[in-house]
Amino acid sequence: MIRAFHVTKRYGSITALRDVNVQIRPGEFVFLTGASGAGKTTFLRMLYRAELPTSGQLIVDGRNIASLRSREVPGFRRRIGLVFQDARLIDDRSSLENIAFVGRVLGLARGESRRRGMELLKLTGMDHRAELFPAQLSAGEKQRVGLARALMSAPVLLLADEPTGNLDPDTAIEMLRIFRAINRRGTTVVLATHDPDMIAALGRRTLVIEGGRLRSLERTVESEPA
Amino acid sequence: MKALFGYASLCIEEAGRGIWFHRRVVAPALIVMMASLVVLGAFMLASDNLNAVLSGWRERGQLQVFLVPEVTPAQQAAIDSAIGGHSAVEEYRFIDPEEAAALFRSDFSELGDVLALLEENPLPGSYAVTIAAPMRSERVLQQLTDDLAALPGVEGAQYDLEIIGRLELGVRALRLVGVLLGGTVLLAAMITTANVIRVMVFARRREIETMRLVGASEAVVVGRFLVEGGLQGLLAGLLALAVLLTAYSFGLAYLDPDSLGFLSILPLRFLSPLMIGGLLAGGTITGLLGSWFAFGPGGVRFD
Ligand SMILES: Nc1ncnc2c1ncn2[C@@H]1O[C@H](COP(=O)(O)OP(=O)(O)OP(=O)(O)O)[C@@H](O)[C@H]1O
Ligand SMILES: [Mg+2]
Repeated sequence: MIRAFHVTKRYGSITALRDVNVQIRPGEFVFLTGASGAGKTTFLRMLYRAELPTSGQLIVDGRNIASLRSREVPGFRRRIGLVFQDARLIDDRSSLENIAFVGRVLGLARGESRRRGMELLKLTGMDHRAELFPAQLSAGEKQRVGLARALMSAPVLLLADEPTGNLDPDTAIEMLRIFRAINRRGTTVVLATHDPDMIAALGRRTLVIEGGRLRSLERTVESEPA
Repeated sequence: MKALFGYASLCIEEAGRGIWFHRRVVAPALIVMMASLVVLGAFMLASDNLNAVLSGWRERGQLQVFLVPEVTPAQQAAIDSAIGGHSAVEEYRFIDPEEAAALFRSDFSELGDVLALLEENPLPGSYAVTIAAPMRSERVLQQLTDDLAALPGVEGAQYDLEIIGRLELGVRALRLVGVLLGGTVLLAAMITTANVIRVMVFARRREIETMRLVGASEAVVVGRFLVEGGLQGLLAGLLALAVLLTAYSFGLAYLDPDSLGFLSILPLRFLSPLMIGGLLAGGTITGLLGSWFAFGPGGVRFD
C-alpha cells in the first residue's frame, strides 16, 4: 500500500524527514509515533500529496506521489480517508452535511449521501449530533465526525493524525476500536499518535520518527482489546 | 448526463449555502447590483413606453397641411383637389380655425383659456390627411409633403414621421444614457461582486483546502463560486424587478391620469418578457463575470 525509498523532506534549512525507507502492506494497521515536531504530520501529508518529497520515491496505492498530475489528485484522494489533528470540519454545515458532502463529491445523490452519512455517524456514536454545526461540537465530537467523514468514500487507506488527542481515555479506546473494526474490513490504517498507552493497548507495528529518521518497531504487546 | 446534473445541483446547493451562511457579507453587494439593475430597468421601461407611443403614431400615417390665414377660396379649392386627387391619400378632412381652437382647448385643458386672451384666433385652418396604409413610406410622405407645401396658400406641411423621427432620436438618446449609466453602475456592481467573492474565498481558503483534501475536484471548488456569483446576480435581478414592478404599480395607482398632461397618452405598460429576461440575464452574467474575475488573473490563488 505504501512504499518509501530514501524519502527526504526539507523545509528550507529544516530537515523534517531524512532518508525514510518503509513499507506498509495492504490491510496493515500501523502506528506512527514520535515527539512533537518529529515529523508525523509531515509524513502523513506526503502520503495524501499535500506535500511532495524533496527527494526519494514515495508510492501510495500504486501511484508515485511525485508524478501524479494535478487533475489526478482528486481521484487519488477519494481512495484515502483522512482524519485530521484538528478535525477540519467545514463551518457552514451540520455534522451530517459535512459527511454527506463527500458523498456528493463522489457523485452520490443527496438522499443517498445523507443516508450513508447517518450510518457512519451511528458507527462513531455521533448520530445524536447530526444536525449540529461544528461550532456547537466539542473537540472530541468534532474528531468523531471527522472520522465518519473519512469513512464516507470507503477508503482503501485511512490516515489519522492524532485522532484521539482531544478525547478522554474511554472515548479514545472506543475510537481505537472503531479504527480496528475498519481495519478488519480490509482498510489499511496509519494512525499517528504520541500516546504510548494507545499503542500499548493495541500492540501493532509502530513507526517511530526520531531526529528525522524513521524506525520500525514490531508488535510491542500481544494483547488486543475485545 | 446524470453526472452533469449531479455536478450542477451540487454547485447550486453549495452556492446557495454559501450565500445564506455569509448573507451579511453578500447583502451589500446584492444591494449595489440591485440598484444598478433598477437604474437600467427604469430606463428600459421609459424608452419602451415612449417607443410604443411613437410606433402608434407611425402607424397612423398622418399628415397636416396648414393654410395661411389669408388663403383665398380659389387657392383652397386647388389645395383641396390636390389632396383629394392624390392616389396615396386615403381620407382627408378640413379643420377650420374654430375646430382647431376647440381641439386645442380639450388637449391642453390645463393651459386654461389662453386662446380667449387673444383677440383673434391665431390657429390657421388645416387639413388632416390620412395616407393609405400601403403607401406609408418615408419617401412617399416626404414627396407628398413637399408637393403640398409648394402650393400657393399653404403655410407649410408636415407629416408625423418627421416629428416621430425627432422624438425617436430623443428616445434613442435616452436609451443611450440608460445603457451608459446602467453599464457604469453594473460595472461597479461587477467589481463589488468580484471583491465579495474574493473576500469570501480568502476567508474560506482553509475550508476550500479541506474540500480538496476530501477529493473535491477543481470543477466543484471553482464551479460553486462561479454559481454563487451568478446566483447573486440573478437574485439582484429578481429584487430589481420587484422594485420596478412595485414602483410601476404605485405609479399607476396613485397618479391621476388627468394630471399627467401629455404623459397621459402613454400606453404605460411594464417591461416585456424579453426585457425581463434580459434584465435577469444581465444580473446573472454580471455576477458570473464578477466571480470569474475573483478567480481569474490577479484573483485568488492558493498553491
Ligand atoms: N510548512 C512548513 N514550513 C516549515 N517547516 C515546517 C512546515 N511544516 C512542518 N515544518 C517543520 O517540520 C517539522 C515536523 O513537523 P510536523 O508537523 O510534521 O511534526 P509532528 O510530528 O506532526 O508534531 P506534533 O506531534 O506536534 O503534531 C517541525 O520542525 C516543523 O517546524
Ligand atoms: Mg502533527
